[in-house]
Amino acid sequence: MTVLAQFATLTMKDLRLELRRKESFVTVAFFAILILMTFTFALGPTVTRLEELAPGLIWIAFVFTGVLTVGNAFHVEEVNATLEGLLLAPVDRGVLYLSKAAGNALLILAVHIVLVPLFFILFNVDRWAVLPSLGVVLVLATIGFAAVGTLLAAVTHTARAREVLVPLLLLPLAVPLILGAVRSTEVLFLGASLAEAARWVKLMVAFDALFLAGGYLAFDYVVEL
Amino acid sequence: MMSLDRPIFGFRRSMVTRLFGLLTTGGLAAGLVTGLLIVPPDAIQGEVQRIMYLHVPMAWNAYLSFAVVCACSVVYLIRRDLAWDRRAAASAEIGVMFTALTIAAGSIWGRPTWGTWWTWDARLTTTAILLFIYIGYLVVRQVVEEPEKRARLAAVIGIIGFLDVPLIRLSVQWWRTLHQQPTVFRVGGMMIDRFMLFTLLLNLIAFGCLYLYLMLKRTELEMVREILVAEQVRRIAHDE
Amino acid sequence: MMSRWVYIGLAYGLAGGVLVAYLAYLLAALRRSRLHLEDLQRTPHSARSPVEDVA
Repeated sequence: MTVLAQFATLTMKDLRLELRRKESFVTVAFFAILILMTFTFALGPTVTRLEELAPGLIWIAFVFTGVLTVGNAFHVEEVNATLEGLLLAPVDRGVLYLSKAAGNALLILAVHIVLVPLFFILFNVDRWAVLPSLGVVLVLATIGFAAVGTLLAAVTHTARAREVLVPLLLLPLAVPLILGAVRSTEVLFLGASLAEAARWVKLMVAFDALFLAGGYLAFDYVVEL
Repeated sequence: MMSLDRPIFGFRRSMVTRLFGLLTTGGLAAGLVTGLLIVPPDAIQGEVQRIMYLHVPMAWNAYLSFAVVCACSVVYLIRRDLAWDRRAAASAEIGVMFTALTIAAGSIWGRPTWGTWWTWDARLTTTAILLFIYIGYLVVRQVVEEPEKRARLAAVIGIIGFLDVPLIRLSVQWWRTLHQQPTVFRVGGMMIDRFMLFTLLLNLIAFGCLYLYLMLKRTELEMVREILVAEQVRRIAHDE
Repeated sequence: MMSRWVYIGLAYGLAGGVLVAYLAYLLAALRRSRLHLEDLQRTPHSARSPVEDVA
């Protein structure tokens, strides 16, 4: 089995489990919609200065849903007592990490494919043209968030108070990523192209690369039996 | 093999600790007197600038501590010797204290100088984020019981946390410069006076000694505690 | 400029206070642990030194 096939099999395993149980995807999606509703209550139904607020709101919702999604990555294995089995399989630990991160990233993306258009509709944001570029930013942010989040979920999955621990560690570490995402989105909402936010995009790419590589190398130490 | 008085570079640990204790006391006394009473006040800022002799050394200690956490974590993962984990843990705790004090002293300095307790200046914000990363590091150490596992997990966070610092610094700087220039405040830019530089150096050295002294004491405490636990475990095993 | 010295006092006082408190905690904890250890070692059934047990 090639490394790529192993990666694909492991990722598919996680996604299939998720599709069968639908727990985290459905719960997180509804949670995300509730966050949007709460924004409406907090800001009032007719928002002015939306161009200024919208990027921030989108990424606050992203952080909430992202934290919920990644936090559960290893808890599932813990509950089913399947982590040992995975670790004993003749698979490089790094590949196991990458597959977990990919599964998380796909779940976060899936939620946002629903969430972002819904946000545009609920807040009357008439900026459908930015969607493709926003998609690029979303993918970059999701990869980085899943990369750090998956590693931290592995670090904390047996610890006490893991639900609080993941966000506590994740949010400060993810500052560059969130700043990059918010600033790029702002540039897009001002009507400029993504090229105008090139340095933020580069920063996000650097963050993704650093944490994917870091997670790949560190995961072996984290899950040591 | 752990010994409470393991030699450090050929000298007895207790002697080295005492030496740094004395250096710290003397250095801080000299630094305090020079910084508060002897050195002339700053031409522009006046007396308040004397907070610099406290703020800057503490900030250096904070960043030094976190670099030490990262280095010790790497060595731990390679050698698997819990002595390195003790050093990383001690450095993180001391670093968190210095970071908090740096922010507090900076805030008190900012009030009369910038007219505000807090501003989202790049350096300030970076330091605050660092504080949270290493508080997280200490919390992880609290919630994992088994020593070897705790050491491994903490090491991973100690390393990735430190690797993230350049990215945080860069992003926060871009974020601020895009909006407004932070109130200009540069020590290097205003041709620092020779005497003031000397005072700052004196305090930097004194605080460096303080860091080493605290490290020696904190790791010693951890060693005594580990021996204590081992002794108790041995006794329980013996009784059974 | 009396009020300026208030800020200086506040900064140095706060830092000094916290540092002294931390040092006091360290020294007290160290003393307590050492005493506890000596106490344990003085009682009979510990033939070997615990120092050798910790690797």
